[in-house]
Amino acid sequence: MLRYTIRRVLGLIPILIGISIFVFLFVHLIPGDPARLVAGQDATVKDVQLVRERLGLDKPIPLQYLTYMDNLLHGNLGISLKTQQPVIHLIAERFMPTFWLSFFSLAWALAAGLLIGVVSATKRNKWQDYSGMFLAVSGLSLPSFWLGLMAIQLFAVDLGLLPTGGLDSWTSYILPSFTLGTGIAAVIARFTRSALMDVLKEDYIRTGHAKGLPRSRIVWGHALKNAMIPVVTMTGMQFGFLLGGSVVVETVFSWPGLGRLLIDSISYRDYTVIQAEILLFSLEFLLINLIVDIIYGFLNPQIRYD
Amino acid sequence: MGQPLLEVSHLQTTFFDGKQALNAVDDVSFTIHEGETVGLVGESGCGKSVTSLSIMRLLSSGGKIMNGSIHFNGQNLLALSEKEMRNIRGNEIAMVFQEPMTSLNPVYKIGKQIDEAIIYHNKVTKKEARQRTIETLKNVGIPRAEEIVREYPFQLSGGMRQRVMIAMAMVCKPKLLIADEPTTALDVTIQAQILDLMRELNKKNGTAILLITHDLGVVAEMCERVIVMYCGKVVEETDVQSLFAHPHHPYTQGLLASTPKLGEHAERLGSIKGNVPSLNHLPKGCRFAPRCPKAMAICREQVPALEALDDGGLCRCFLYQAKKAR
Repeated sequence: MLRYTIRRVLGLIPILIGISIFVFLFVHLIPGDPARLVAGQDATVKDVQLVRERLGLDKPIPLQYLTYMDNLLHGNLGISLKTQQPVIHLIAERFMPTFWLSFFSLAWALAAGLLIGVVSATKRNKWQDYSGMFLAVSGLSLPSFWLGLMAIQLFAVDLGLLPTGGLDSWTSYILPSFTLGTGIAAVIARFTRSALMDVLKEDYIRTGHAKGLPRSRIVWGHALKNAMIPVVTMTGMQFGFLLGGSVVVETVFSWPGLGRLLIDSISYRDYTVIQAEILLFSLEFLLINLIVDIIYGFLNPQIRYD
Repeated sequence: MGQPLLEVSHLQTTFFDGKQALNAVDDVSFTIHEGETVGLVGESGCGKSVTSLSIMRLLSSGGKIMNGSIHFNGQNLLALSEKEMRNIRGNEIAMVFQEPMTSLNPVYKIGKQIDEAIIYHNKVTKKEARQRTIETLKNVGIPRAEEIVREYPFQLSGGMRQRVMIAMAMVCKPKLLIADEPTTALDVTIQAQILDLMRELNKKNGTAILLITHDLGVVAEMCERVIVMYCGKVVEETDVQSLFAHPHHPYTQGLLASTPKLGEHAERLGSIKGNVPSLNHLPKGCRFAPRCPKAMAICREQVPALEALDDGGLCRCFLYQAKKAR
């Protein structure tokens, strides 16, 4: 397992280098002159030239890349064009609310999705299955902005139990996590159901019954462990998307997260912030993929022996 | 011989496929005594496996036992609750399946898969269970049993996996072992080893074996009595010597003729013409009549009964019933 993990981590190095090059080139790939962008539309040619020299944009590109990497490794992601603050501060401020929101959404989605999926698969074509899948289809089809607004109306406005938005205390997490997690719980339920139904047809399940094992042990032990691989893949991807920040839900709940930061920076053309967010999302996906790979290794021994 | 260990009588197992009801096993009766090895023979789809799964009450969804009774040690298995049945499965009646490659859970270690059979049927600690697992693995001829328990199924060959399956079945010392085509998926040399092993376990522990196979060579090697099935019905039951010396039912004769014999050089191997009819298009009268070289008019009209023959065997064929009537 340790060797397998080390191999996976080492495999990330070339990808990391690739990403850093791509993100670095971002500024050069967008239309227009980056120096003009920083200096502003009204700046004189001379000013633009000064900015270009100050930012080192007149140097050869490989040298610029090395400078960029040096800054990156020292935690320097540049200055926001809009607020003139260090980008790293902007991102850091927004990261934790998004992370915890993603975490809570995924946690309840995983618990509910697995439960509904397992019950549906084992009670196939019975009322439990039909109601489970009805919930899942509803969860998938309800748009999250509508669900969020309805939840605010009921729990915040009518009942006055929970805050309507913002991030003041732990209660602020409840409604947004509920809204974000609903669709994911639905997807997990459907994945679990179909994967588990396939596994329950396998010969080794019959062997388990022939051994005299209780059905619960066969379903939750023998079958679920085999059925988890597609579910883990999908859950990892969902977590990646969540960490990018959900624009819709963050807007509905005025959440101080990365999604809204990204939208704000795009509309302002705050390229340094956009660049930093692309880098962050890429790293998050890499990290999640690594975790998913490691979980694969736990779930399926054959993978780690290959 | 006293009370039989297993007594299946008038078993009828039906599969429901939409509106259709197909009798995969139709009025099947037989007994197995303690320590006996009985062969259940027939072509694919004749109801051999469904019979064995009915005994274990492990029919897949859609399959249902409609009629008959299955007595094990005097207990009617069909009257037991699911929980009581679980205490029998793997403990008193164990089963070995055809496909050793897929019958073990790929994500659990060998040791754990055998341990749990012990733990669910006996009040033992994990450590005691593991000890018994290793002991049983050694008994079925697995070298380095102490290391194998920490390995996964995919690290073992097919023959080794079948040994593991047999160890798993034998670990609670069952009175009856149902082996459903245990050697079909294995190489010939490994087949002989597995058969030897089963014979040894039968002798040493007195475990009765119901051996399901389509291979008459395996039957000759292993069994004392043989039950021949065709299209869900028993067509002949006899001891193994009479089966090979003078088979009665034309179907049994056909099966024997299609087995190559050492020392004889036939131009062509015998074969039974035609195919096994599907259960939803069964012929009227004797189910074998359309393929039978000796079919008479009555065979296409009426269903023959399973009747005793002079040599003590049973046969479902008008040829012999006509003789007796004369």
